[in-house]
Amino acid sequence: MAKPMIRLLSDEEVRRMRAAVLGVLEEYGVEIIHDEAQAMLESHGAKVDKQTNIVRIPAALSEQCNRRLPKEFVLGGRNVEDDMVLAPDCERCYGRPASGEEYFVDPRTLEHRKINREDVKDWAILLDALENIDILGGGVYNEPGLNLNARDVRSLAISLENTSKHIFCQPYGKLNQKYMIELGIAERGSAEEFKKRPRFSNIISSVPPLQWHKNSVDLIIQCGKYGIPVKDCPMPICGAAAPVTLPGCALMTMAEHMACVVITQLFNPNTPVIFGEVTTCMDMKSGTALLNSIENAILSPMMIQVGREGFGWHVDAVGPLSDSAICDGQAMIEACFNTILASLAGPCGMMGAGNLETGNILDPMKLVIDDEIFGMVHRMLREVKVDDDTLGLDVIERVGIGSRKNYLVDEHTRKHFKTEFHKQKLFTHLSRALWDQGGRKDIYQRAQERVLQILEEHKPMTLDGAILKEIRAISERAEAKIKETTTV
Amino acid sequence: MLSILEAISEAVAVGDSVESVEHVKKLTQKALDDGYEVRDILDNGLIDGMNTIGKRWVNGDAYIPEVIFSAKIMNAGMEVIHNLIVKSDIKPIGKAVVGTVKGDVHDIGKTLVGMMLQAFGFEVYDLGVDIAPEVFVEAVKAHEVDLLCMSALLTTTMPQMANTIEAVKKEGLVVKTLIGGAPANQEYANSIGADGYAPDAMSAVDKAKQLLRVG
Repeated sequence: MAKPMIRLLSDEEVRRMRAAVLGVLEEYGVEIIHDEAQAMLESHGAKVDKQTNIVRIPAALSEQCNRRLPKEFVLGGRNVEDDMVLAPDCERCYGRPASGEEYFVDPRTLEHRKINREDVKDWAILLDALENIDILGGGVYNEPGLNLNARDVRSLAISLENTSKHIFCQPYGKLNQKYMIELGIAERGSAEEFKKRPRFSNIISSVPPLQWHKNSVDLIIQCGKYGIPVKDCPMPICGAAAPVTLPGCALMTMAEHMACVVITQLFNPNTPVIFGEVTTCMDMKSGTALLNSIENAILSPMMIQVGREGFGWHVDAVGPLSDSAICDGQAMIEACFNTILASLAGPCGMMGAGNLETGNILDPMKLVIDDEIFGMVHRMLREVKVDDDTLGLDVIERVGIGSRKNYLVDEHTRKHFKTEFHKQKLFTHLSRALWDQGGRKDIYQRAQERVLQILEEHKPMTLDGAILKEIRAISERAEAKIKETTTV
Repeated sequence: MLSILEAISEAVAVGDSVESVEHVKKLTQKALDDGYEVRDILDNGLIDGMNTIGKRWVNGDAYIPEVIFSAKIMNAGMEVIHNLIVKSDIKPIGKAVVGTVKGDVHDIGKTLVGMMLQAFGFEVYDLGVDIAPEVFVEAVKAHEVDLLCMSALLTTTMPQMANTIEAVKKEGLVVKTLIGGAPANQEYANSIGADGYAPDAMSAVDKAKQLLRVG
């Protein structure tokens, strides 16, 4: 987790929200439609109503399970140097796209269309090359004649081939997840190695208000068996599936997440869990669920703070995802508002890089712009040291006072300027005259050029031929065997 | 001073508290006692108020929770004259079933559409989530509805819309079909033979009225 710089709530307010999360589960309960989970919870003191599937979880049990969460765990990349370690004091706040998108902006034609196989590949290659986006999340494709229900597995196989970075993906069902695990094991060489450094995390959701369906519970239990980090994102809609008041909506989100913590830790203690603080706010005019209104930008630091301080959770926050349908000024305002506020509250990572239209669209140009934003975020979150060297006491004395004195040639400037000043790739600071001469390219056009250049030049590290063959064979088996799915 | 029917209309359109519900009941009863016809109370009182708030919503001057609350107030007034409505054989502008398709448990989108249709004068049967094609078919038959509204949030469950439309056609049922949900669009609606597609609650109401040629 990055070091928090803003605290929205007082200590007393954090305590109150923490108690309310435990209280909701103890007094009102949560609907868990899963016989085995109900039996497990009952045997640990929860009160189960078989008629309604409502399970009331004693606060003590929630607390006990919460203590079992690992404080530190690995998000495995292909090689050890690609791993990210999530620890309570980790410095780097990771950036990633959301997942499950259906649409793509073609970087060559700028056409908005359905994602195809080549797009999934290009997305992975592009992301692999970007230095400030650490984790892959991405879309799923389908084509006539292909099995719609196996596209999550198929898309993961392509991503594994084309990036060394850790991957966040959403399995549609237990069988899909089994094939995903097979893919991970094939790349690692053994189940033991996969468990030590899981190559992907699974994004799994409850159904607000306060419902955990069988399919999702199956998935989180199976994650635990293989040490796969669970990225749980409840996603209640503020004002429609949760109270309209922001603390109430945050409370619902966290109560649903705590139920996930309890289930994972009862079945498989030490399962890594990440809290995805993804809430939406309903646009009361159209009924659309918005992910990046100003209210979301307030909810993020609120839930990051209560998650971190109240429960010790690793929090994956909403970052630069935009509700705008195109990468315009609105998209950039939304992206920056939420990313700045959330990142200053200390999440372990942020999602939404490259995302538009509430997460339905992947835009490669926005991805490289968001890479720029994450570069600035990393710079912003770096600790400011105040000592003799950074105060520049020696250099001020050495350079002296008045005209004909400057700092440009001093060794202090040479020593620090590369680390002190963040270098932007896409921004321009040309005068208007020079910008006119340079072809009048705005940031989106410059981003397009960078995307095309990366796709032309970047070659991801290739997989061993035998592993590649195995991965493709597993993907084909999934294609043939997965018949239907129930997803949340 | 407002006439009693105008007062009913205003109570529906601007009501914003629990007291408004009781208030409209009293006004409706008074209108009956004063000798107004049921049709008159409906058209120039309760429904008129609903039309007012509906227009404000369409123009962007009112919000969904306000429309839904006005519908609640209107329904309270309707309860007072329920028996007379039945006797007078006054029908809703249309009857609809709504549901989320098989394999999909997302509730809120279709619930919102159901509530808004109801607010605009439809009789609505909300079947819930994870509804199989045969259950939709049975509901269309049982309630004799004019409109079948389906929602899916996932591309993987979207094909169930096609299956449901196929099942409805196979039974030879005369019902209009309207689809919605994040992955759906007009192109998909055309490809599966749906009569309409609506991207949000407002267009769902418009489309429903257009399909049934009412309102």
